[in-house]
Amino acid sequence: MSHALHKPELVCPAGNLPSLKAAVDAGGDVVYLGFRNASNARNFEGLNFSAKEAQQGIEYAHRYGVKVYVAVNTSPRPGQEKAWTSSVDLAAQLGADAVILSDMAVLDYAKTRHPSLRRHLSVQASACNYESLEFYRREFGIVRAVLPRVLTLDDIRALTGRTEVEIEIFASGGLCVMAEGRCWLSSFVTGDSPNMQGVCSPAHAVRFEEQGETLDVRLDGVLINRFAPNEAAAYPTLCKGCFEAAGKRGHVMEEPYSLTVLEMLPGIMQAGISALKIEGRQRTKHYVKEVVSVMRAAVDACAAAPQSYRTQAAWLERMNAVSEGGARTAGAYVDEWR
Amino acid sequence: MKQHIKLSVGPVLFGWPEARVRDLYLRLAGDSDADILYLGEVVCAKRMVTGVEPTVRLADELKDSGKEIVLSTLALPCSEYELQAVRDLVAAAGERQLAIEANDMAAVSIASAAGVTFVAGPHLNVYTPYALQRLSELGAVRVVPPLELPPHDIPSVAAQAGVEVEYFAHGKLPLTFSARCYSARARGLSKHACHHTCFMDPDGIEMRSLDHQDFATVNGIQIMSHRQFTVLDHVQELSQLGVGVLRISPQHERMTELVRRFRAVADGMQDGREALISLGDGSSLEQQFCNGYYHDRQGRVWIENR
Repeated sequence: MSHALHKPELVCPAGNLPSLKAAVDAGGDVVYLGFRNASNARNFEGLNFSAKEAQQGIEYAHRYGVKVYVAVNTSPRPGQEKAWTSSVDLAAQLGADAVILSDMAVLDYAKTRHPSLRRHLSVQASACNYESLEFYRREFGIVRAVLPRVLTLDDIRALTGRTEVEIEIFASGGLCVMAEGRCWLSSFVTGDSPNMQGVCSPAHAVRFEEQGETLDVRLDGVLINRFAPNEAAAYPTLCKGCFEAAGKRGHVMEEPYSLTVLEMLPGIMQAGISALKIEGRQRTKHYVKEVVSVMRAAVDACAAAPQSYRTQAAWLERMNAVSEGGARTAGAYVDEWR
Repeated sequence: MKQHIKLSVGPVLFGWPEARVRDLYLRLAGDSDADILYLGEVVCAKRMVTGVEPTVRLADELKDSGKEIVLSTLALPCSEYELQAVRDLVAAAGERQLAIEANDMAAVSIASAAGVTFVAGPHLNVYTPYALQRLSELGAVRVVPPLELPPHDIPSVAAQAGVEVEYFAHGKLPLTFSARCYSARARGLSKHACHHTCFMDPDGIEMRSLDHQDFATVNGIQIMSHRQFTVLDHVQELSQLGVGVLRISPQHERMTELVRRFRAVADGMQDGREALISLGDGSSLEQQFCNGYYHDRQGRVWIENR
């Protein structure tokens, strides 16, 4: 299936007000954020927005013509629904341009109470085919979905032709190697999970232990990596850890690489994709500024002249300077990765 | 009054040759202790060398066994081929008046449209009473909640929705799915040219931490716990909570004995802890099993009962 060239909007992370301003100033089309509780999948210490901060952030973004999406994308435990529904109410009240939701209860609440507020399906809902997307569209009126990182670009191109739902894909940042929303590795090891507490491999469970010449990294007591002196240590996410399997030691699941689609932008723009999401609400405003600036330049360059588009060395240098692990991968978007 | 708790055997999650799968279910069909048998490939479409046909054929063979037969669908249907496998299974279930186990919203959508009843499998994100209510309206008759969800608040919620609760009660915990095949990766292969390497491992490949502690199991595109999760010593509590079915997830050895032990404990003929000790290898339960999710804790840990 062929698609006309489509310039996707750039959806940028904001873990706090300075990062939100950095994303707006660096040329983001959209900023996404969450409130300071377990109602969103980046419920990290010292991160996210109070009602007042969100109001200031939305005012700032709207002043520059930038949209704001609010993520309320975890599942409440029975009896705790209020924190989730009030987050949706607050997003509507503050003039957010969309809410990003995963749980059916929250989707239904938003549809019923705030029918004119755009509903996006979060990656945490793990909808990876057009049957699922159309299901959520029919049942809950979603207009967009963020895809889990399990499809190749060819799969995505086939999918966009089969659904009315706008498609947003991850373009940059930390790489979830599992189908988001269907991964219990974090709760298996630490007791806290993305779906329920909004965290993966939470900081409170991380311990660094010097053992003579080596540095051990433990997650709630489980050894997930061991570094030699001077070896660069990225944030210890469980699935990027080192283990032993089939007689070999190494990154059984994935290396600590970051995702980037810079090399694939022309293909992405012909795949009917509506938006590119930059991961990293937990990162610094400097990170946000650098990555958004590079992605802005790259998307503009590709849209202006897709035939002659080339990834510029300067972009990669800027990305590498701020990326964890320093290395890059296109992840599941290319078949060989699988 | 306490109900008679039923026992199910879940779908085989490992890469087993068709003959091994068939052998297990024929043995279980001849054994009176399992009430429900789930058939079908959940993990990887590449294992379905001849599509859904072996699953449907086995279902037909088991038709007169007196067991409830449920056809389980793929958890991560991404390609058109995989979606078609879901449609084929739903169609086969419809023709035979069987239920399916829906492990993706695509299966919910397809089954609901075809009027085929379904079990909401553990790989749907069903965490809230509302979600269960909505699935019930769409044709769900039973739910296997996400494994990380503690059981204590589920049954009352499910009863309101008119849906039976099935609790994952024994087996390696299926923790996650990926686009990548970790069995192939562990052997220096890719998913594209995997040579069905997972068929070499009837209980998966063990993954240990660098300090040699047991940790996880590699099973194709899935990562599982290394230890077997079990609630064999909590069967009476689960029964009192209103859980209707206990699921035993297939392993390649001692399945009929495992099912028999669960039946004996559920019927009050044997103490759960004693039954567990008799199933074990002689080392402490703490070293062999995990049950943290039952206690709203880390899934990998063992919390001693009493």
